[in-house]
Amino acid sequence: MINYLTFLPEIILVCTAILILVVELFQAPSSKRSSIRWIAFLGTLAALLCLSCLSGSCPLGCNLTDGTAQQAFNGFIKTDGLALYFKMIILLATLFTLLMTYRHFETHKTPYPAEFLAILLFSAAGASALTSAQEIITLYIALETLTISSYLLASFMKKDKGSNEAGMKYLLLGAFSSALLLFGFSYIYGLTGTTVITEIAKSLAMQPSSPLAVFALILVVGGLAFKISLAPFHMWTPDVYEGAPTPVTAFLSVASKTAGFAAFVRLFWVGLNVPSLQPIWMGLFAVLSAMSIILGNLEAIPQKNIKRLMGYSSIAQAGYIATGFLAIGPMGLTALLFYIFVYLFANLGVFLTIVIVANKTGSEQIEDYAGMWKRSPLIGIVLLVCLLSLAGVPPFAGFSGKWYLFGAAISKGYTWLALIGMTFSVVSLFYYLQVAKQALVVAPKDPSPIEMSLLERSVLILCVVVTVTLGVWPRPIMDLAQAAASSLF
Amino acid sequence: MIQYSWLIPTMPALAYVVIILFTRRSRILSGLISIFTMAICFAFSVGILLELLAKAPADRSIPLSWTWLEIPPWSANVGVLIDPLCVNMLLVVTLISLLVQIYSWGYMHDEERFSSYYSYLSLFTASMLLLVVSNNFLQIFVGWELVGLCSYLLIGFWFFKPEAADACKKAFVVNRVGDMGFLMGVVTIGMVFGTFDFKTVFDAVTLGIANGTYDTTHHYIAGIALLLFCGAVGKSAQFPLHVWLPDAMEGPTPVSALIHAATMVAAGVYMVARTYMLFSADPFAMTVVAYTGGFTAIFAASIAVAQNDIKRILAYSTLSQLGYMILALGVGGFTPGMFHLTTHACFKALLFLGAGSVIHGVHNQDIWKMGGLWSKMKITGTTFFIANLAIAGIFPLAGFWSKDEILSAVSESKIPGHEILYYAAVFTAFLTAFYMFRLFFVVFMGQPRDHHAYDHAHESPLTMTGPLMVLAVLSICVGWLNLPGVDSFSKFLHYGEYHEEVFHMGIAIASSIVALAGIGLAFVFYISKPELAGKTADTFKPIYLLLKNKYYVDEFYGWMVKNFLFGFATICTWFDDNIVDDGMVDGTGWITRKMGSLFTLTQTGYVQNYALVIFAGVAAIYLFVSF
Repeated sequence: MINYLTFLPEIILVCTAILILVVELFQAPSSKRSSIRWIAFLGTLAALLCLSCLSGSCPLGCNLTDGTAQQAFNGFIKTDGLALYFKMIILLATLFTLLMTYRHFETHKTPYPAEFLAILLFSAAGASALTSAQEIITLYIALETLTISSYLLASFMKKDKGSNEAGMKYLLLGAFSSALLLFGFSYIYGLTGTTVITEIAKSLAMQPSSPLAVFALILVVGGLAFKISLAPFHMWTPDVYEGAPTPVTAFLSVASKTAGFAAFVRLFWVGLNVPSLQPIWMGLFAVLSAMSIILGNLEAIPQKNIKRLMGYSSIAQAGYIATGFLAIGPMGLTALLFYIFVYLFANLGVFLTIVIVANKTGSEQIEDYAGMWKRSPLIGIVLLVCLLSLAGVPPFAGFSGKWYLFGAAISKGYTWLALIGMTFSVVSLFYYLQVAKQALVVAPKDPSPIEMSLLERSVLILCVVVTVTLGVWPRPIMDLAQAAASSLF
Repeated sequence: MIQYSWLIPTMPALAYVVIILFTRRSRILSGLISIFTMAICFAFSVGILLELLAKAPADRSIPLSWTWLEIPPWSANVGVLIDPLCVNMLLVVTLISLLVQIYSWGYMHDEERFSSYYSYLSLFTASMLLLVVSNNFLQIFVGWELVGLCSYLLIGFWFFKPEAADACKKAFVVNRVGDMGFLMGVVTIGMVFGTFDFKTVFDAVTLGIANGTYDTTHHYIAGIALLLFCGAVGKSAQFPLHVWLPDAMEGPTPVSALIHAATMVAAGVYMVARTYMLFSADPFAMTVVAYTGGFTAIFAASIAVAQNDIKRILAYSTLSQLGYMILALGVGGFTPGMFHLTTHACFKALLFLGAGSVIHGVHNQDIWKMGGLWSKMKITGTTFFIANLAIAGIFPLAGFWSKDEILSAVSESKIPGHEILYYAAVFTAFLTAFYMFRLFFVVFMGQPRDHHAYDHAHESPLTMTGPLMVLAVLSICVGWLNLPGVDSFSKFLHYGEYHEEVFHMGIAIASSIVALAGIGLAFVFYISKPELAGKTADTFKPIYLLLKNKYYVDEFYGWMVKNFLFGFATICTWFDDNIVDDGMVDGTGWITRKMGSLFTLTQTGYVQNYALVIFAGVAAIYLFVSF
């Protein structure tokens, strides 16, 4: 008997996607298709709410479990607290993306909105499934569900050259990295004779260090680092981020990366966390993290396009988060989880403003953000608060997030890495503040106000409130992250 | 109720946010929000007092704490420490703030930035309350700095007046000097004890004394106590950092009342009382505190004698009275110090609000342009007279009891040279009575000197006189809280074990005689023989000028700054402009940007290049790891 509770959120997402496709069939070509939007939105919300039921802490009291981790398929899939936390991030990001999508398609007309929404939800389902995978084949399939859908999403604007280019580049390089990953997995299977992550760890611990194991490890690092765009596997990021439809960029920068981090945590902290390999991948991550922080921040400086800038920024952010990988233990994992939450709200706040602004001005150039403060005070505040939070300026949440991350890294002896992180956080202020300066200081060329819906307004305010509140009072999310981290340790 | 005590600083802070964000456009709504919040806070404080009184004396210290930031082994907490000391301050701060806010309704009725004014008042009180409820050094420092910021905003409320702009800058800069010491003290505590929590630190000190490790930490504790005391010297305006307080009267008068009576200057005294454990652990620290207080008391009182601005006289009187409190704490009189803080809050608020009422009526601050106002301003005059009696220490008003306790404490103390301090304190009492009644006689009695001002004078509206009357009643009665033999205040608020207080009849009589003599002298000089005052001033011209110019302390500081600091600053500016800015900062920026542009060249846009980088990356890592 299969325990369907383990993948209830994914079931809800997939069913919603299919429902959207079916409902679309009955819609007149001229209709505004608001019904499918509602279905997508409510379906994702339902999946999000079902997480709290699965964690046994539903505020409405409909607890599906008593809070213990659910297993299925001989434990290949296990929805523990950590998986639930990652799923929460992914589903929140999906909700944000849906909100952006509705606004984006107002000006970027597509004849296939239902297909877009369905693919987005499939993608989210893949990301969500990946977080509970305890076995490398399952993990790989979930990852491919996520990435193949993402290729489609990135190239969805068929008439748009940029979108086509982005999709094609993403597909080619993504396929390349997937091949690396699979290649690595095959060696691991060859060495251990199992695909279950915990069994891999047991088997590897018993054998002496072999060059083959190291080779497999490096291939896996290369394949996965591509997904979270760690340098030197980051080259695709700016091009794809710039060309893809903005909601997709937002989705890639948060949901897709979060899934990648989940895979990293499961594979490296459990599967490859053996004495013979651990020092190797620790050193590797330290170097990759430092390179990402340095390259991402430096290359962001000369950018003129805000999406490209956010692409480089996301490389640097991945570097910061990767410092958390080095601090194996509850402290490092808590810091990592907390930072992802903070990153979600700050990053998606910025992307939502990009969509709203582009909808009005049709431009994604930073210079066209001149005087945004006058055109919409809220957008000015969001840009200032969220960008400063990404830069890690107190009292915003990004500061406490980096505080925990670097603190965890220092406690494991990686002071040099923390110092690089801090130094380049200062560098990052330069380009983040360039945007804020345009928005807040420079006079607007076109003073016409920028309208937004009540929902968008509330979500932007929510981003600001969360970012400020977690900066001064990080406890609530820290407690949540600690609880999630405790399921691994 | 106690478990919700964190609401007390939170509510006015929220009121600030609400006023700034939402109700700024509506004067009435903003003012009402601020006043009602404060009324709720006061009621809350009374509730906490009642709850505390219901408990046994041993259980009256209740800490509540939450973790704020945590990096093991460090953690920063936020929390509340409810004990008699805290509750006493809560009552003083919320009550005075409430009365001042009601009073401001009338006083500021023509003000354009009425809403901003009330939002600042709310934030000011919130900061002070945050400081008061604090259970750790870090939080008290946050409140401390917020109080400093708000005082800056309020003193400079009329920033378009150059004097106000200068005064707020001066207050901020002078406070910075003291705060530097305070911050160093707080950091040292963190380093030595590994925690900022009051209870943990005090327990560690107690333990250190008990098992004899005291000697090794001895110097630390005296040093920490004195560093903390630097902060108190700045905030409570003790010599030599007293110079900001008299200038601070450039703010609206109700703000002066708030600063001088309940918030801001009381913070320093409160902080010393809160960390009394550290001070009392070392006789040397106590001696420094006592002498600073004693000297400030007599020093400021003597300056007040020769001032002509009504608010300036009151400002120096505040300095002098704060000196009394610090002196009391220094000689081991914990309860007398806090008791005087409480009584002083009532009559000093009354004096300032009364002065505000006078200024409101005559639109002038020079006492020599007033006179004979008694007939025009009956309520203001009467309440002002009561406050004068209270501050002069006339039986049975509030000041008599608290001042008497301080004098007793000084005379009983064992610190070296306490006799000198005792006589200084008694002489200060004489000067206080003299200059306060000089002020009263010149302003309210005699003939009108400036008929234009006199004709314009009128009694203030009820929103202003109402708080005056409440404060007048308090100025009479608050002292009775600690009647000899009953000692209800001492039993509630004491340091260490409670000791029965001895009432020294001799001291009481002596201080009364001295006070009456001061009043009598003022009567002779300014009522019966007005020409005598001028003659005396002429006879002792150098002394008079010295006092009138406040011992030239401001001039001395100005000279020091001009000759030493500016010279040094010029060198630093040159270094900063030419080497730091042009060379290092611009250079770093240039290199960083160039590197950014350089690295973006790798971003060719060709997929095959990107794939090559991935391949090269894997290969490089493999080579790196293998060899």
